[in-house]
Amino acid sequence: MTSITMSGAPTAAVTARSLVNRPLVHAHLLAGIGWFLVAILAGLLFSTQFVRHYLFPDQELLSPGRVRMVHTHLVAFGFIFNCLLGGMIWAVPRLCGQRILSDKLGWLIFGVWQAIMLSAMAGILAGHGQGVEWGENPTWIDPFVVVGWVLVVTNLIVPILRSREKNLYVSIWYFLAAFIWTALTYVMGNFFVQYWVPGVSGAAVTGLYIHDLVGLFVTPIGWGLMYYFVPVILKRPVWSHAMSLIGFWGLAFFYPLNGVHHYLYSPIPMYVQYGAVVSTIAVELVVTTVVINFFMTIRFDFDTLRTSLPMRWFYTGMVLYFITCLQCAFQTTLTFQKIIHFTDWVVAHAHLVMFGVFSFWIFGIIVHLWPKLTGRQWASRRLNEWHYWLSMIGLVIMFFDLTIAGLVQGFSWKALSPWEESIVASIPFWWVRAFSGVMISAGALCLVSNIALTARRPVTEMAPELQPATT
Amino acid sequence: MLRRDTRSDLTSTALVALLTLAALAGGWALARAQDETAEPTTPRTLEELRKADLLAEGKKAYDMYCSGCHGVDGDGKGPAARFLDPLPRDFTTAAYKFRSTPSGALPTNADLHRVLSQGVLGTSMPSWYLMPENQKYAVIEYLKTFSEEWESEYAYEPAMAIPGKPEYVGSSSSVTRGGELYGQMGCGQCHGETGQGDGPASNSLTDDWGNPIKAFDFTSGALKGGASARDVYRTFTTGLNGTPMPSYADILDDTDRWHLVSYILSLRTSGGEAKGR
Amino acid sequence: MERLQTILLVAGLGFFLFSALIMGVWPYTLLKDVPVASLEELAKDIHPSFNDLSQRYPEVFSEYYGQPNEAAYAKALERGRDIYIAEACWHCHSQQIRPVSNESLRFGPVSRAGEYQNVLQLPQLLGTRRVGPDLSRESGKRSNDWHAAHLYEPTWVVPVSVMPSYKWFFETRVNDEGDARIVPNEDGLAVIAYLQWLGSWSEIPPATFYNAGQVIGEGGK
Repeated sequence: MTSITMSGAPTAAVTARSLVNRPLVHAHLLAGIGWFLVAILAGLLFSTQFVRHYLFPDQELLSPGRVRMVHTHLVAFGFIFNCLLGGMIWAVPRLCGQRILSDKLGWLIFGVWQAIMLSAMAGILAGHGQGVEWGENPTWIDPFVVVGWVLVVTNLIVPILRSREKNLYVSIWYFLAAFIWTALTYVMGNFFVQYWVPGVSGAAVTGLYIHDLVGLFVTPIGWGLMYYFVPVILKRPVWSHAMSLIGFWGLAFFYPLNGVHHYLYSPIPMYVQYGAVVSTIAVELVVTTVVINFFMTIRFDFDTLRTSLPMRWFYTGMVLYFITCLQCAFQTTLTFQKIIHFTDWVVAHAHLVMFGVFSFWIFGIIVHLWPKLTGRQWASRRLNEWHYWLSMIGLVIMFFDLTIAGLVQGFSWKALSPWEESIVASIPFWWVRAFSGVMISAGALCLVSNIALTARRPVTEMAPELQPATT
Repeated sequence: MLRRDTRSDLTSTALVALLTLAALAGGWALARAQDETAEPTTPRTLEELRKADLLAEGKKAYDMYCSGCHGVDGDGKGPAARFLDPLPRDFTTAAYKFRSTPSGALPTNADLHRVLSQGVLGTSMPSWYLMPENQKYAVIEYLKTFSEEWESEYAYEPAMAIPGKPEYVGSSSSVTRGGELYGQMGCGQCHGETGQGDGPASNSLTDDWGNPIKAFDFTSGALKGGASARDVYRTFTTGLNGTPMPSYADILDDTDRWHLVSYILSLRTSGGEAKGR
Repeated sequence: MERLQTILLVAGLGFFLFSALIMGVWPYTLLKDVPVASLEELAKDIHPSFNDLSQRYPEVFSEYYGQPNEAAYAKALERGRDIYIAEACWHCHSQQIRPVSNESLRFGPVSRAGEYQNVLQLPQLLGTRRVGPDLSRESGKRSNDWHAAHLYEPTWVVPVSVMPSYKWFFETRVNDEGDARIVPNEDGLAVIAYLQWLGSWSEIPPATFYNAGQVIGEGGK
């Protein structure tokens, strides 16, 4: 039971040249990489505060707290949003055999979105940040984001509707659900919590927002793109259609129920907390089916991991995703929460998910798509290798370092040591974290310089469907 | 598909591994370099060894928790002192306000321990109740290295007996009697007729080192030496070294001092222990 | 299960609304009878530290806030809360005390839902990370001076601190004798007032701080 042939979609890529607006995809990916660079430099800058060597002390506009908000916000809405959108603008027309609604609208969204990001960054640095985790942009930007997302959905849902496909391909399920989820999640987190729901019930809703942004925006679009790119690169259908169904519907049902696990042992009613714990463990079991599905799709072809960089990024991301899930099922329990809540353990987990999984997938997509978008082969395989290894090892160091730091902090607090003791004990870990951040940033610089070098190369002859569009 | 290049793979892997190790080693080395340890001493006897251990522990804790206000050298001139009123205690003078010992004498370890654990209400001295007990006593020993006074046996006096609170303290007759004593003793000269710290002499008060000092406002409720009746009784009995507040141990008998305590506590308009400042 | 309508309506809309209902709306209805205190109501109980601020920094205080009355207190609390958000204080300080991990011994009484029913918890500031300590029982634990020095340069007060300094909360005033003095400005006063307000409503004082080793009830009440 294969799904690709069922929907027949990826094979429709033969006429892809006229289908995909390549410059638009290219622009989104480029912008995403640009924001990524700003975001990780902000993170790196912030990490120097923890070792008391902040590079711009006493500068109000570069205050570490504000820089920290820029870091998380740009990662989510600058980098990941742009790249996932670029991926969808590439994948949706090819899966549906229909162009996006309007190229002009596409470019309008692109321009508006970058303006939103710029003003969000400027607003946060100027001291207009909002008190919602992952929604730190100034409140006056929120309506623009919602309108922007509605436009994105309009642009991408029309080709899906036009395809008149009865049974849609699994990627499209995820995209469709994410269209709705993202809009609702954003409104919930940035309007309800900000204006109407105070205190503890606000915390419950904020928990939903924090988690839904990962689980109902980044995760479904990320998985949707994996369901598209992995079979396309391997030229082999996804292993099990049934598993795909279980994965999607399990995620759809359980993931939205998870959010309150960010506030365990808070004054939120305990039944809500228990429910969040149970559904978190359930969702981890469910997404494991998705991971298994992918491992089985790749199963006979481990050599690809060495020859194909995109597949290596994807595969690494899958492995880390599995680790994340496993970790999450344990750390969400009340027993673990006693110690690890409020510590660097959670920071380690967040980096594992957002960088180790979704960013890695995005890098795989970038490495895979770049020659198709620009018509130029990568200038340097070696730089891409460096990007991979620096990012991967930097992340692994950061993960283990912060996880152990979290345990040190948690047990120090529980032991009622003076607070300063936990700071003194954490500083070596924060040094290592800063160094791992340097490694990750160096990896990103490899990617950027490779992109710059590639742009100078001549356009090579390619198969007709892979030639760049001339618009 | 990109060409497989094993050699470049190997080189980059090795380089990255090397960089990783360097990062880890560098991180720990830098962190260790930050952690300055106390200078080595060469103790000779077991007694000296214990003392050196205690002082090293005390210095570590003092530098971490106390030096910001009281200064690394214990002179009360830490960097934060410029913001503080009243000023942090200068340990080099060895003058301590809150004691159980007679006026002019050094405090006992228990006195210092009490101030450290409770903090001093109405000042910037917070409570260090979470500091482990062994660290508290190590800090107390370390404080004693700031003044030679602690070397002189004449500076020590046994603690005065602070008895339990008698039944009549707080009764209306006791408060009335305390009010009379308040007038007779001229407390109002500094503390004001109504106990608000606004007496005629209150503007010209200085401590023993010439810094301006305020007479205490009893209505604020934030009793610095502690909020219980026994704490106030202790202050009347021992006086506050380094300040114009004398000891009344020789002037009033203990019954009268207890009446005065009743009166002082009746002046509180807000619960100091509940409202902080 | 692979159709457009099913996915949009059941997975997209249905499951999401279901989750919002039981994880968001239900807890909200449990608390709906606890009135949400307005800023004016909060400012009625002026904390003594606010009067103390007006005495310590009379010049700047009267310039920015006038008299230490309810209107001034309301203004300072709201401004302090806004700065607490804008400077991302809430990223490194929590405002909730859990019943586990000895937190009630370290910080004070465990947080209760009713404490958060006020407009200054909109958006809520429970927090999810502690680099520095919890602040929900901060009121009265430390003096205004301590907070001023600590905000100006944290390592001056806590030498091992990793907190950034907030020098833009301060300004220099020269008095008649020509002495320059660093004092909190409008923002600094607001932040200190806000910090001293956090937990001031608690009926139980942070007993461990003021009554350590004392017999409760001996205070001659």
